[in-house]
Parts: sequence; C-alpha cells; structure tokens
Amino acid sequence: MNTLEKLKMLISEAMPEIDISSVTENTTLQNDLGLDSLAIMMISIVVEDEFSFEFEGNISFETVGELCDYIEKHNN
Amino acid sequence: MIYNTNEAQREYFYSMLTEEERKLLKYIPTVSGLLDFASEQYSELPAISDGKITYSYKELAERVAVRRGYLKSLGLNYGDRVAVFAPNTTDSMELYLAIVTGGFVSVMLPTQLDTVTLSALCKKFRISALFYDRSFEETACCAFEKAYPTDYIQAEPTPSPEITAETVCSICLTGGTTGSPKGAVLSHGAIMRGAFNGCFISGGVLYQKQIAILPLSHIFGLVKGFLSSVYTGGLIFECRDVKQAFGLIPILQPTTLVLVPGMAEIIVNLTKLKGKAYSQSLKTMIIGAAPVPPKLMKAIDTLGIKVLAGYGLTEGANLTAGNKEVMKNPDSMGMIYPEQQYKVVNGELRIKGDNLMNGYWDDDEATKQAFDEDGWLRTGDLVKFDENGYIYITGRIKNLIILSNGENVSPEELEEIFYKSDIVKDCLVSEAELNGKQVIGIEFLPEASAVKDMDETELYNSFRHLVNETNKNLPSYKQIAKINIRKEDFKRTNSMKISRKQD
Repeated sequence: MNTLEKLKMLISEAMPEIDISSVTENTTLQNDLGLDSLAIMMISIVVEDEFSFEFEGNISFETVGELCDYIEKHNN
Repeated sequence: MIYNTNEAQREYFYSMLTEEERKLLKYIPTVSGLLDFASEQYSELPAISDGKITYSYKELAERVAVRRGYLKSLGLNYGDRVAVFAPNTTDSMELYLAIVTGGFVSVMLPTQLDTVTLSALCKKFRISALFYDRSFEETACCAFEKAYPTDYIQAEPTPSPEITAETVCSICLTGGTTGSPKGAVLSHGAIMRGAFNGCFISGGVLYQKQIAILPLSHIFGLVKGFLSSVYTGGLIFECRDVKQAFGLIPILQPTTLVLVPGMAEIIVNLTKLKGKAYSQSLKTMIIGAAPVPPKLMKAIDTLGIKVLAGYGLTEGANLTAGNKEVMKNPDSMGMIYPEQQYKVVNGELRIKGDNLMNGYWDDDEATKQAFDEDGWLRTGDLVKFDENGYIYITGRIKNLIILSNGENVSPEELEEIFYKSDIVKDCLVSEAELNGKQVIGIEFLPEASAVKDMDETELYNSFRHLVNETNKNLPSYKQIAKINIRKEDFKRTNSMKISRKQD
C-alpha cells in the first residue's frame, strides 16, 4: 500500500464521517475536506502513531500530497 | 420580570457536593484568599506539576511569594498590567497567581499571536511588563521592550498587599465584532465567583487530577480549569502542546478534563482507535465554550465518563449556567448558577451578579453597549426557560461565529479583508457546513465591471485564488473553507445593509 492509500485509510479511521473515495494528492485538507485545526490534530496523532515519527512545529500542510511527502521523508 | 436564583436552583448545584465538600468549599472573594486557603487546607498535597517536578500547595504558595518579590523588584506599581505570553506551564500558572496576589492585573495572552499583534496588545493594555516562555523569546522581545522570561525565579519572598473583592484582578481577552479583541476587566470577586461555581461537580470534586489543556488566556481554562483546581485541592499538570497532552493521558491518568467539544471528540476517537488507556482514568469531562453536539455527549457517556456542560461568557467570569444532567436534558444549558439575578428582555438573557466584569478596558462605548440602562449585562444570547427553570439557548444576537473548537470568528473582520479586492462588490461571511463539518463560508457578489470578460470557470478560479491567498495570512481557524458566488444581490435591510439572515 502506498503512502497515499495508507493515509486515506488513517483519515477514514480517525474521521469516519469524511468521504475519502475521491481524495487525491491535490485534495486540500481545509478547503476540500473541511478539516478544522482539531481534526487535523487528530489525524496527525494517528499518522505519528502509524509511521513512528513526530511532526516538528505547527502542522501546516495545504494538500494531502504535501502531507504524504512529509510522511515519506520522516517515515522510520 | 426579574428573577433571583431560587432555592431549587441553588440546591440543583449544592446537591452535587458531599456534606464534607459543602462544609469545606465556601465562596472566597479574592485570589489571595484562595491561595492562603489552599496552602493551609491542602498543604502537603500535590498542586502543580510539569510531569517531572511536582510542587505541593505549600511549595506553590512559597514560590508565588518569591515571584511576587521579583515583580516588585521590577519597580511595578499596584494596579499595573502584567502580561504573560506562554503556554500553560507551571511557570505561567505560578506567575498568574503572583501577579494577581501581588496587586497587579494579569493579562494572559494566547501564544498564537504574531509580533505585530502582540506589540499592539501590549500598547492597548498599557502593559508594564511582559513575561514570555523561552520558546517565544524572539516574538516577545521583538514586540515589547520590558520582556522577561517566565522561568526566572529569584527574589525575596514578599507578602500580598491588601486585596478586596473589588480589586481589579485580570483583563481577559474576548472576541469582538470590531475585529480587535476587547479586554473584559474582571475583579477578584468576579473571577472567584467563576472559580467557586466551577467547584460544583458531582461524584467527588476534591483532589482530582487534570492536564491544563485549555489555555489560561481563555476564561474557561483560567477559571474552571486552573482556579477551580486550586479551590478543590486538585493536581494540575502543565500543557505545553495540546497534541502532546492527548498522548500523555495514558501516562498522567487525569481524572477530569476541562475541554472544548472538538477536544472531547479527539479523546473519544483516540479511545476507539488506540484503546481504553486514552479515557479510562477520566471520571468527568467539563465541556464548554461551544455547544456540545448530542452525538458527542452520547459517545462520552458510553465510555462511562460523566459530561458536564456549561454556558458562560468572559464578561461574566465564565460560568452563568451549568447542566449536570446532559444525558437527561441534552438541549438545555441546565440552571443559572446561584447568586445571580436574571431577566429576559425581547428574548435576550440579561444578568446581574458579583461575577460581572467592570467593563471593557479603555472602551467606554463598548462598555455602555454591554450593559443596559439599569446595569444588566446584555449576554447577546436569545434564551427560553422551561417550567422547571432549565435554560435553553435558542440563538445568538451577536454575529460571532463560534466554531466547534471554541474559537470565535468575527465575520465583519474577514469581510473587511475581501472588500479590498477589485472583483468583490459585496460579501458575507457565515457559518457553513462541508462534509458534515462546521466551517467558515463566504458568499461573494462579484463587481460586474471587473468580471465582465470572465466565463464561469474563470470567475470561480478568480474568487478561489482570492480566498486561497487571503487564507495564507489567516490563522487556520479563521480560514474560509466554502465559497459561493451569487448571481443575484443579497437580501438587504431597510438601510441597504446586507441582511445576515439570507434564508
């Protein structure tokens, strides 16, 4: 499973009400998925847990693709 | 009709306490009195902790006395405003107590502020000293000359000067429709009424453990989170980072948490995903600052955690009404806390009591508008009461958008930004829904002459670009998530202003 698919699965687990079927790398977290700061925090907690790393500083990704890139760089 | 909180309402709250708690917990009119009470009553019990070092109530009082000495050594005078720009560390909690028991006035500032805003607020409140956490050193020192780190604690212990219920205690920031936050000036008596109301918790309020998740710059975090914990001999763990705090729940095992609904939702989700350790130590969740969705209440109840929901406002030192039976009566905000008078005028709740602010800092006009001609605080909330005295909030007079994470967004403030663009004739910011989530939406009426050569796609892309560019300069909670472009004019009021009710 590639990072995008894994991330989609995690988003769906963390936020079951979100429809992830049409999520692509260009999907924006806030504008398209409607995630607020606390929802993004929830997703970051499960991502950290799944990929065994910790985000540095504020989480300020615009798109799902940017988040995937960060995960791939920091995945232990 | 004017109502005083009656015996039934008083009993609604006092019945939550055991006999021992009722005897012990009496209203104390000053924070200095609270600290004296806690250091004597809870002396050796743990009070605050950073997770490594824990200080007892006696030690806390001693450290606060030293910090008072340090504040005095800076040449500060009685009544001077002292700001704290730091996360909820043990240092900032001690400093808060030192400032207000030293006869100074605290201004707790949110750590999201940038240098420009921080500097503007220091000027607005005529701050005499700004204390900063070292992780915010650069922002603080660029914003204000008289800036000091919060972790410096070396001076002669100094006793509190004389402080009464009327002495000004804290200026608490509150959202305003003008775009610039106002400062509610609260006396010791008001702050302590809020803290005392926060003690009404059933199932054992004494000696609870909590993590200070909500910032002290928020009245709910300051009064209900921190001061009510001191009132009841609780242990409060510092919280440098909200995300980290959730991960610490299995380790620190808090028994109670004071939260906004979005945070409670995270705990519920974490428990589902990662196991019971994320909630099993919790007996109570006190949720406020925004309405609690019934679905969330049910999910928390399923975890065996009692939910207490409350209604309050910064101008009334936090708690005005509280609901101890959210599962039985989920739509209500419960009953009005004791020692308040209330009346309903044209559907709006107005209150009086020793919990009210003196007024807004340096803003006579806003203060005049906040109170009616007889000195009642206009809450701006439309309410109704049922035959048993339960209160229901039915709407808001104010236009503020209250998000599920507790943040307040002023629509006018955002609209002002978009009005600067050539392609915008008019716009309206409001609460919207996207994928079942509450978000901020905007409707545009394009400036016909500026968009006349654009097709539908170009038009949409231009507004999308405008919103994206604007969002880059906004904190995440203020960002616009939903766009609608109108072909017809907005509904307007008689004075041709856009009506905020477009349905």
